[in-house]
Amino acid sequence: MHELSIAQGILELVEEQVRRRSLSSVEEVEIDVGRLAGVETQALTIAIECVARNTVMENARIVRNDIEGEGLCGDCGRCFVIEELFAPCPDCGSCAVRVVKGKELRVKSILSNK
Amino acid sequence: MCYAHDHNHHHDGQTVLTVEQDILQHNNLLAERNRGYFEAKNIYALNLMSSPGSGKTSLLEETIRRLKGRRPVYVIEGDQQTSNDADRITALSVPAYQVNTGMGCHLEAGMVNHAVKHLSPSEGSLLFIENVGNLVCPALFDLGEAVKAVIVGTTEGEDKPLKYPNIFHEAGVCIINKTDLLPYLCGFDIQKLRDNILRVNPRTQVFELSATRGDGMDAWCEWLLECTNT
Repeated sequence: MHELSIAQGILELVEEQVRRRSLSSVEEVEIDVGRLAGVETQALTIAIECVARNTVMENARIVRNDIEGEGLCGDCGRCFVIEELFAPCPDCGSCAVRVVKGKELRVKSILSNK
Repeated sequence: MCYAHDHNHHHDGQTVLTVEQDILQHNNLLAERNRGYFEAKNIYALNLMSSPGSGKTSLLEETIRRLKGRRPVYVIEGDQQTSNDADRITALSVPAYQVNTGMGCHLEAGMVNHAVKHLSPSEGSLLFIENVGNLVCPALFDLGEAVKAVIVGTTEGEDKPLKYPNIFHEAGVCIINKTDLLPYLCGFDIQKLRDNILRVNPRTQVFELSATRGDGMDAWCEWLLECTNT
């Protein structure tokens, strides 16, 4: 249940922004979650609900962008969509694939009434 | 549902503030602090991860016995409850610090930072960080280690790397433990397990050993000594 730690991380980042920019409210929090980041999105949704209670994020909508995985073949250089970490290159079959996208865990933006 | 913007802007009296920050940045910053401390003191830190019961603590005990007098060793033990593991390590006269994570399912860099202050490892030492027994959550949290090591017991079957790819994908080292049980494991194919590990992570270094009987321990300990030579 590391999703709770991730939800806590989101709250800390949002609270820091609220403090630094003297925001009066947080209407929406936009997050990027890579499909290969090892995060169960349903568990994350529940975890965010839990940590947001009685905080600045209590009434905020969460907009989640699921980022598709992308691999770069170390042998033939092909870039391709991957759904799992051990996907071999569809062209040459090599397993030497570097994940170049899909492991993101990021707070992208905050919508505020200021 | 999502909107594109490169900078803060306003609409309908509302302001969109660009943040673009890694959710784990607090952990990652602390991990880098740990890493800097380890590098400055030439401490080689390993993050040991596995499912519960794969033999992490037994492997540590046997490794400590063999490295005694050759390298100073320190251990951070992560468990939800009890100090059983730290007690087993201190019984070997090696300094150990137990972190109880309570409901937490993994160690975080801040916990290691705290533990290191208690242990104060000496220059040129080996620091083993035994993570909470769990093949899922520890994969995401950098502790500042030099290398992540995953331990998998032969009793766990051949497909663990495919079922829990994230943790194997992160591992610089993978140890197949309990090879002494091979004669009793009907239908288990160690080569298949090895292939699956390398399929998920072709760059990882694989060791096969039995911590209780000692097979393969020499190669593992030699590798550890080489790592601390630099």
